[in-house]
Amino acid sequence: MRRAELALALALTAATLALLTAVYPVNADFSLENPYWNGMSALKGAGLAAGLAEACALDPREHALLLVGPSKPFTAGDVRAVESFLARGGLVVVADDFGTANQLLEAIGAPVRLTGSLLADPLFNLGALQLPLAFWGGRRLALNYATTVNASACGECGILAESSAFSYLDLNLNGKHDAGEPVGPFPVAVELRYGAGRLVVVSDSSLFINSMLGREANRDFLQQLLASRKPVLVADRWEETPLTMAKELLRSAWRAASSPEVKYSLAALALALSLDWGRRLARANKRF
Amino acid sequence: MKPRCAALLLALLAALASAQPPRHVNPDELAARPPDPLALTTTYQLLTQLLRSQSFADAGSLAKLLLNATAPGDLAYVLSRFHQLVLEESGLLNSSRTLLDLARGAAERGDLSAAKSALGEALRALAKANATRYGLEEAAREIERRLRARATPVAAAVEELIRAHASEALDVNATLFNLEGTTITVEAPGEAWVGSAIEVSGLLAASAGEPLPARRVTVLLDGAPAGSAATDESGRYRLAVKVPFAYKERLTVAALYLPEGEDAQRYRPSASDPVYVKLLFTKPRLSVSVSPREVLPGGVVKVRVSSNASGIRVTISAFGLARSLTLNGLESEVALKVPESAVDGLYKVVARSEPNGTIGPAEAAAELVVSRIALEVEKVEIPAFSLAPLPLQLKVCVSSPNGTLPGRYRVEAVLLGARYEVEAGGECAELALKPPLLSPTGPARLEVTVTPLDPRFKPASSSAEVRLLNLLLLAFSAALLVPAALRLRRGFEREMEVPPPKPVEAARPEPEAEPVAYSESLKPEDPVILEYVLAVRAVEKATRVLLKPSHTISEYLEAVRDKLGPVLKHFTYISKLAEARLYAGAEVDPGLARTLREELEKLLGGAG
Repeated sequence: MRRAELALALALTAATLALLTAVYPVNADFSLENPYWNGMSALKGAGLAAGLAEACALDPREHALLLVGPSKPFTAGDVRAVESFLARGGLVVVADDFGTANQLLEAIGAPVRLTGSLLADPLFNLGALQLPLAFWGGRRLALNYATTVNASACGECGILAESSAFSYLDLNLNGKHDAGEPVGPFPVAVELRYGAGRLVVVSDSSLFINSMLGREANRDFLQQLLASRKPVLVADRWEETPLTMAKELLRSAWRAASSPEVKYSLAALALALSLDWGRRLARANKRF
Repeated sequence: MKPRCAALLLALLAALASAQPPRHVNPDELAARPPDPLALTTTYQLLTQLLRSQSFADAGSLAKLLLNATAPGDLAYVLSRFHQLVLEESGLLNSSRTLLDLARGAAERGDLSAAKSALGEALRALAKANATRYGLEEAAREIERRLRARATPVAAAVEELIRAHASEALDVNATLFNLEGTTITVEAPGEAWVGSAIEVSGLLAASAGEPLPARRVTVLLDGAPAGSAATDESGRYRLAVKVPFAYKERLTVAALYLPEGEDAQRYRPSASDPVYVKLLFTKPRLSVSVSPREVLPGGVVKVRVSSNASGIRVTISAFGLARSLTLNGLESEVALKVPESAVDGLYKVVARSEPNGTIGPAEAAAELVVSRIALEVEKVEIPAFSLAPLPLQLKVCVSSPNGTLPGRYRVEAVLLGARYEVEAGGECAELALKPPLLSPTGPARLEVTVTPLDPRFKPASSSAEVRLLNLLLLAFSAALLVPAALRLRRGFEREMEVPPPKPVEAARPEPEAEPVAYSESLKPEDPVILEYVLAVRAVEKATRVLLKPSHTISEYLEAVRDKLGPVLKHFTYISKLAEARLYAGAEVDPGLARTLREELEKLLGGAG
């Protein structure tokens, strides 16, 4: 009896933990599941999240790859997958500032790089010089701790958006312009043809997060980039938090439990256990 | 030493962490700060310089850009109003500048009514600018007070310009009506060959009609000075000018008189109405053709250029590259290599001949289609059914419409999110796929992409389906189900057991009963009563309340009721069974009495 009670308590604890893990909202940066300011749940209705390999296997005429703020290194296989997606006429939007996107750009031979220096604008900003405004044609884009794109080696790159003439690179991160710190305008979004495909490099990973997407013309910029394509957010290039790992584990368990053999076995087990308990109950009632 | 090292390491890590800016911050949690006063002051200095140098278009652009400057609360309004006023003032000053120039120009041409009209407009613009200036000055002072950014020099520059323009307007007004007008005419042949010389002549006279001799007249060809000549006694001038090698339809000829010396205080300048000279030159016929019209990236096409003029130099442009050739005879051919990086599409090959003397330029174009060979995934061979996570073999075969295949190609396959790839050559490629450990049982989609390493071929893709049965999950299911089934079976078997017949109960060896002084009415030979007696012994031991001979079963139960605690239920039940057996002679299951007694003993800590 005591053993049964212990088992029941353990099962209840596990179920509660699983339930909590499932319902507790993700707070990891850029996640499509994250409804907070730093997530990208605003894109959930229009797009989907997938691993890089899976995303690259999608039809490039209907999907566009959004590689936002990658922080994990890219393997040779990842690079070939991206190259193959581009070669098939795909659109890849790389939005990064201080992450690992340069490694990918170098590996695929794109003649653009992210400088990795903090872009600041003391005049045109969202209330702080690290949140500068950039100009996309006659419209404005709101950036958040962005860097700049170095496209000097790219002869055929088109500059889609650039910072103001008052912006500068805050190399020593002291929040003010010092002698020798380069001044703008700097390119912040650059487009280039890559084989039959198109590569867009944006120097801010936060342009499309929930708290920034609705500001200035950020949403229109994304829509114009994507045209009629469905955005596929590459979701396996970020360092994982314990919660995301637990959620992934739970998802894997759910997938495994959804397979017919496990699903029907669990149903049969539940039936057997309820029969057993029913029988025990009946015996106890008979006794008293 | 070790703590020091650890502290140093920590300090280093902290320094590294602080050297890297965050990826983002929540903009809603930021308290909006005003723009940097130093940056704003620098910008206003630039704006002042632009205004002072009368670069109104640039000053306007800068003011327009400054409208994007953000600031918290009502400071945003003050800033935006100031920049808006600077923008308006730039526009008004630009207008007054242009109108004053127009008025001066019209006055110099002798067009008095146009001059008056332009001057009036200029004065109106200046009046409007002057009215706006006060708002501008107030906004500039407010910015200086609240932001400590030097904005008043901008307002001062605007004031200076308004004064300067007003003074100039007065000057134009004063000189407008005191100069005598002049007229000048020009004559030229109706047509001329490029490179030839033509004679240009005309007449210069005062507005009253009297000829103006010995005055210098400048002849302009397409607006550029081509030479000058002095007028004779009758006010006529004559000049031979060379027609430039301009390969266009016509040439504009005009004459200009600019009074010099004392004439500048007496006569107004004048310009003639233009006359047009038709330009004559030979237009060569040029044609270009490419063969073949469809080509692969990296392939070579022959470009044939022909013309009715021999020896001309032709430049052929395609794919952003240019090649020059000189036509030997009337036609020539050149080989053009299509870049390997060229993507599929329609391209133009343009041939332009360079002009030479009286032979003008010509241009012709031909179209060229760059199209890669469409590779096809002919076969994706995979078992229809497979056991996961055991590896399964995939065979992909490719083909192309013209039968040629790329030397090497890469095959990529994605199955349940896992990616596999192999580089291969020939018709078919094989690769081993290892389904993930927790692959669900059921159909799984396999996506195959073939990317040729030869740029002449297009990538191809295909998909297939495989049914998986996961052995691990199957084993897991078995591990769940088998023990449950066994337990269920045991339960059923126990339920199906026939209860042992009573004699068996009777034959049960009796426990060794110690001699007790119980009431004589108790009959220990009855198995139910025996169980009661044994239960009483356990209760006596636990409660230290002995069953007296005078006690009835109910009385003893009442005597121990308060001391039994959780086992009271059991003892009450067994007492009732004993009463029913003893006093009513009812049939009572001795097995039940024994179970109750055993549980009671167990609960009392093994007593009895």
